[in-house]
Amino acid sequence: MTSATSASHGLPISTRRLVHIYRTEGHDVAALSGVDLEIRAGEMVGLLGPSGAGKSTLLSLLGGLFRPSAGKIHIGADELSVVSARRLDELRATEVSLMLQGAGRNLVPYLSPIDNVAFAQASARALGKQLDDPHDVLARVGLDADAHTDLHRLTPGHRQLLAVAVATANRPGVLLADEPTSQLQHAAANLVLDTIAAINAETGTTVVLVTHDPAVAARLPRTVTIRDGKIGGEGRSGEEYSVVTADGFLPLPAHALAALPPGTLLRVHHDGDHFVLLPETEALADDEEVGA
Amino acid sequence: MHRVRDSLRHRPWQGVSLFLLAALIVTAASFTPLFTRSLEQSVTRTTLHDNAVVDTGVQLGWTGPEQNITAYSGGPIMPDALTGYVPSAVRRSFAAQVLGLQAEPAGTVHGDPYAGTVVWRTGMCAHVRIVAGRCPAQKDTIAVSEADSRGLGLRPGSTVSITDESPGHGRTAQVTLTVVGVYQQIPGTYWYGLTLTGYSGQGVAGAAGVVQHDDWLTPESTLYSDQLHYPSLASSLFLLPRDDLGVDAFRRLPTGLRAIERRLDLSSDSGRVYVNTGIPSLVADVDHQQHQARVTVPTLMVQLGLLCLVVLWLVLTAVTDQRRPEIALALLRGRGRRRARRMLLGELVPIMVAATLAGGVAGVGVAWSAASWYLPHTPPVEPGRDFALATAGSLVVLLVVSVIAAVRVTREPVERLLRRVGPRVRGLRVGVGQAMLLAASAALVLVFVTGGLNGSASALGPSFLALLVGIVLSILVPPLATAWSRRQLRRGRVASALAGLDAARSTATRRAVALVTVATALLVFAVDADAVGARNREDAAVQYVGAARVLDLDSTEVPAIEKAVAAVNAHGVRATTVLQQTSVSATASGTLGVVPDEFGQVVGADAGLRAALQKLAAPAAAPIRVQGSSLAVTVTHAQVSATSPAHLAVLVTFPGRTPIPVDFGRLRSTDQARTIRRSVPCSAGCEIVGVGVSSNPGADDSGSFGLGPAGRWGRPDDWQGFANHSGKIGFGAEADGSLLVTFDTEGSDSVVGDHAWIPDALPAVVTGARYDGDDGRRYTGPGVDGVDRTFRQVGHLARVPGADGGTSIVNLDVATRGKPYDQGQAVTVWLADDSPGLLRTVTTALHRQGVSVLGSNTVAQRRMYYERSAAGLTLGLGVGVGIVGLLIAVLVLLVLAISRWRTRSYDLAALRMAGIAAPALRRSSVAAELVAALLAVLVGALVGVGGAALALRRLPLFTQPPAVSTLTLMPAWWACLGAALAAAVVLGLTGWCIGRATDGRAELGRLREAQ
Repeated sequence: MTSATSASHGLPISTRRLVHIYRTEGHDVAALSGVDLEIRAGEMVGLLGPSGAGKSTLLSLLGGLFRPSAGKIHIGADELSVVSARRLDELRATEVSLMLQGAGRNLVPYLSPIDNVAFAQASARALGKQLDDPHDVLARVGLDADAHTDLHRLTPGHRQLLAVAVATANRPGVLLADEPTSQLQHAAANLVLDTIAAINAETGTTVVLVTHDPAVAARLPRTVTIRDGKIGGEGRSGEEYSVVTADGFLPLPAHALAALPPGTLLRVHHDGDHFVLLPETEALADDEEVGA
Repeated sequence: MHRVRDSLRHRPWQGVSLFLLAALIVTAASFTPLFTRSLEQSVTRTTLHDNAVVDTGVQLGWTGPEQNITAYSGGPIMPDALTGYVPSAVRRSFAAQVLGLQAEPAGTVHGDPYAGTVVWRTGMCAHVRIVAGRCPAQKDTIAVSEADSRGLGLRPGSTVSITDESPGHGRTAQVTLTVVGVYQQIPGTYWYGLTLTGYSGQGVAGAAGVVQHDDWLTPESTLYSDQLHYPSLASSLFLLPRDDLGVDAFRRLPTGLRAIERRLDLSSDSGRVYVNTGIPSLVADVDHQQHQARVTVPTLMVQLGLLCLVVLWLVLTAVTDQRRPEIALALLRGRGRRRARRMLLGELVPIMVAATLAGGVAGVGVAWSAASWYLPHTPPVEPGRDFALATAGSLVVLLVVSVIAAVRVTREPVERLLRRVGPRVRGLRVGVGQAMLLAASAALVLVFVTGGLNGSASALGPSFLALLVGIVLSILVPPLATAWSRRQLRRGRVASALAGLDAARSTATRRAVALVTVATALLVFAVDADAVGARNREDAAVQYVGAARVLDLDSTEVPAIEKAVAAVNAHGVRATTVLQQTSVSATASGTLGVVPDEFGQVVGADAGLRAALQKLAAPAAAPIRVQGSSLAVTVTHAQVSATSPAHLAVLVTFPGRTPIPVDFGRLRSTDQARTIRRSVPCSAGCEIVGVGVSSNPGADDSGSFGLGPAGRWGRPDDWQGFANHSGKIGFGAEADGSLLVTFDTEGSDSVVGDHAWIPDALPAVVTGARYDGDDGRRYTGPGVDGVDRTFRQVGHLARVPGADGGTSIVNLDVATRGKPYDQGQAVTVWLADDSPGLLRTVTTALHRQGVSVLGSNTVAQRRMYYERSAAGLTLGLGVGVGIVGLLIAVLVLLVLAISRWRTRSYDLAALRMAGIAAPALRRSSVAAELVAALLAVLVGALVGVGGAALALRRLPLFTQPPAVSTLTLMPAWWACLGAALAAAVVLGLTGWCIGRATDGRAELGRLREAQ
């Protein structure tokens, strides 16, 4: 068994005023409208948000599946919106790994687990990258015994673990995972999440994963909530925060938004080491009465 | 490598489908040159077999001078010398060479004068059966025929004497020949059309008292030596190997023959040297058929190949589309498009290479099968340069198509590759490639419809039309299906609505519709063309032969033949006598004498022919029949004004003979009745057919007289008088009942009035579109005796079986009255069927009348002749192509179903999850497949019929158009309907099975497969 270096090699990710517009049914729809995001190397971040908020679009842009309509994306030293196709291939081969939603979509259906891992490593090896032996990769996710098992014989959980193994087989600097625990039972989801976390810890790979599952989100050290194509908030170890945007806006968390309907006037008080938001509802009512 | 293997194992049916289609393309490509070549060889062999040896062989002959005997000083040109004129390269093309000499010496047998031919040929003893004695080997020995042996008493040991009158010797010598054997001729090509027997006992024209003998066989030394007889004919015969001569060698022969002609000194003083052969015209015929084959066969196979190629493209796109997730994965893992493409081609190329090898072998196998079981005379299969080029070319095409299919997928963006379902086509949406194909097919259809595709190439027309209609239909399917499904949804019919939605969304359905349309059109066109071809070949054969079987006879004695036919027809009409006389007349090409009722029944006349034949009824006038050795006539009330003696002439006749004038003496003016008796040759009975007056040329005699006894001469209306520049004669009635005759010779040597039993103008039905004159028209044409006579048109038909255009169909009985039989006409017996039993019966009946059957022609033989031509054989090939096209359509449906069954069953499972009842889903699944297939079959069938109607106008059905066209291009509706139904059943069943199978796999568990 040979093992490649386990020193941290994760890559930082940053986006600046990221906009993505796509055309559907004859209309332009802004999937992302000015996303500023900073993810440090080796960080494990979850992207949260309702369906259609733009999470998967953001993940796809980070994975270089398509180019943004505007804004910049940096993965390490590379700016994805301008890299050449060849460099993009190199990045995919060695540094950026995208794990699609649904285990089956990450696997070549007619190859065994060990061959799937080898298939995922081939391009990186061709570029001279030192990689773990496929058996070691499988062993890392606990599937060494199933190296030659037919894919259809694997349980859904094991298939998802194999997808994780395949996605990390080339020791990427960035792992982008779209709903890696969806459609899995609780135990299997935990196992997958544990495995990804272990890889993150062991290899230093930067992990960005999309999830709907609050339980999964709660286990992530950092979460970013996307709402209406913008970053609507962040969480740190289960604690929810609002994020001030580059142009000074502050999206309210959902529970605050419910109490403060649109149009509410807020007074921001700097009270020593913290800020207090004071709604001005009564004053507005008085003014209305005066006016009447 | 193992990845390729694993991939093929993962989707075995896709691999098998690709392999089969690719192999089919290679098979079609490699089969084409092989079959074309075999067809050419077959046509050559058929030509050599079906034509007489005198046409398929070469005869170099020498005949001695007939007129200028003094110039005959150099002696005969002997067979070996004749052979020397043939270049050795040409000689090698022939299987056998036969040298021969013939002489026609005067001779005596038992002191009686005889004439005939003495023959020598190399190896002749192997081609006769010696029934007594031995085959002659020594000089001055002969073998005689059985007829000579019986009739002339020539048995082994007998001697005959011949006179050597050969020019150049200046003397006449008597030579005695000894009979050493009696032979029977064994028919065969060896004899080169020479019939040794059949002359024994017959007279010699212009030589009273001389009787013919059959040919006598003798060694060469009898006919040519230093001292004796010079032959009158020398020949060197070359026989072609009918089953071994290749088309190339056959086609080279005319060049060699021209070389022979250049070498020959055709104006030799020593007689005439000549080359007789029909090879150049046969080669021209083979050339024509070869040209037809080289256009028609590739035309048919190209359609099949293109259909396969289109299907292969569709399958390739389906296969590569199904690999989109894998391509996306490869790109996501950083492989790049080139390596992704290589990965895809790694799967496809081995299949294509293997299919090429298999297709090449299959091409040889199919060609061998076709040559063994379909083509006449089992021609060889010759894989040569064209075969290699076709096979290699098809591999190149397969590889190019594979690369294009791979490039098409791998150049797509990753996010599009990751999409599970393509966008739904809304409205009339036409892609760039589709638009180009549409424009190209529309242009080709325009060329086809406006007559730009001629000859065999017009077979491509229906495919172009089907392609155009198929594409248009595939474009119309989404909006039509969408509208249909919306309507069904509004009515609450979920199953129909879902089927319509699936058809509207599915690319596979649109592709299937286009291909099924093309395949069905191809099948219906091919079946229709073959059926129309068969019908026209049958019609042409009937027209050419006349009846199911026509017997050639060795006699022209109509009464004897009619007697035999009457015996056969005692219990129903099954045979009839037909007399044919040809002519080069400008107004009519010949005369066909028939027995109207019998003829109509034997040839199966339609209403038009039956009505026309009824107009040929014999004149009402009864013949004046007399019997005895003398005839007495009574002349009354004669009033004659004569410048020279005018004599009463009565014309009598008997069957098959020209009327004989009997002179009853000079007519004198007198009121007294005078009975005159003269000898007549009527002891067996004869008819009085004319009464007239003969005089000296230039005399102007006129007058009248009565002719008795009363009652014998019939009514005055029974006699045909005339008045013109050559005199006049008229008939009336005397008070005592005798016939009143008035005449005026006006300088002619005779005026004769015919009895109406022999009409002055023979009623005739004229055939041929170009000869459509008015009824009642009188014209001149050949009588049954070959002498021009007057005809009166009583009807017109476009065609009559067995008659060329411009033929006068006449009543045989009427036409032969007073006419001789032995003047070049052919008398045949036509039979209602070609059964051996009827043939035996008629042959026996004829034999009893002393008439022999020389041979026969049947409609079946003639039809086979047409069928075995390149035009006939390639139409049959078209049906095979159509059937393969149908099977390809089945394959298309299966492959398209296989390529999308996962997503389709997933969709159905999702609909089931949504609460739609299982029976409704099942109906929807079946309807989605079935309706599209049946719609395409219906449209394809209509296109096939329409395309055939257009193409058949220009498609050659015969090597050369028959002299009398029977062409009818009306569609063979039953055949078309059968083909359409077959396509509907086969494709409908396939669609039904696919629908059921897809529905059967729509389990809820499918919904978890996305994991």
